[in-house]
Amino acid sequence: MDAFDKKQDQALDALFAAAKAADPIPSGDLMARIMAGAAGAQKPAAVPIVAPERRGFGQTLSDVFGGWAGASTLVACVGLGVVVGVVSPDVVLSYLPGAELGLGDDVFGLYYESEL
Amino acid sequence: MMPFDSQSEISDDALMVLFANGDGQAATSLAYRHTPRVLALAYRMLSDQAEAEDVAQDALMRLWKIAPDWRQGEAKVSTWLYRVTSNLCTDRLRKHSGKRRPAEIDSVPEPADETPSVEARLIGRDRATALQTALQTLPERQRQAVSLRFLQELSNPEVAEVMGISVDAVESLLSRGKRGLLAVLADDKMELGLEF
Repeated sequence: MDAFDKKQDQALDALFAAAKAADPIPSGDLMARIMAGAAGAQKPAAVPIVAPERRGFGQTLSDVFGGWAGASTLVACVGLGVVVGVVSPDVVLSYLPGAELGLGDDVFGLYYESEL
Repeated sequence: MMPFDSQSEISDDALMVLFANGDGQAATSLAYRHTPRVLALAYRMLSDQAEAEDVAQDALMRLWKIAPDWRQGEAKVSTWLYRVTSNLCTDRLRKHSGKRRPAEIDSVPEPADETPSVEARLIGRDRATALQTALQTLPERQRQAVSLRFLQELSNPEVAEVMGISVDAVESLLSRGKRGLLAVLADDKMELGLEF
């Protein structure tokens, strides 16, 4: 770079420095417009608040037994147990500890009495 | 005086994610970080404060809209904004083709620094006005390259990325741009206190 080029670069540097010092400053109005645009474009941050659903007794009971499918299975099992107990109590008594001690007779005594 | 940027340590990419997730403070940080440089580039290109503000607003609006799809690490927010701003300015220049007027004294903002002497301030203002006027005489691509390189202080590769051209092409534009500026300013160099 010769002396002439150096002077040219120095002159341009002085001009660029003056221009940078005179850079426009964003006005308050501009910043307000930009922030309004941001607010309009932005999705709300908060998770939407959903009011708790009112639940009736039937719904609560259904939830406790795992819905209609769970409740149906439970009812079927209970019914099957009752049928087995009525039709062949010996089978049931054979699984009960103390059945040989006559506990089963105490439990089912009323039934046998009515049979007699 | 800009308000204190409480998220000044957070990267632009992270702020974009925060903004997309609904963080209002992220928008404030991005706006205060980038609006001055976007506005400055638009003003260099258009030489009209009101139009430059419209472009800055439009560029930031596009940033808000792209935030949910922003891909971290692919592009710098500043580079992306410079590119959008350049394109918006180009659109406006083409719309107003032939209607442009050179910068007038009153259209050049007052220098931000109030400490220099009155004489220094006047010289500074004259030089800023002269450069702004000379810039408007350059072909659009030269003006864009000179503004990005010497006024926005981007590196040559960054200018190339913003303009979508090679670094060699940038260097060519800068060389011709500087020669063009000196030719236009040659007649006024004494009044501007310059020697070349």
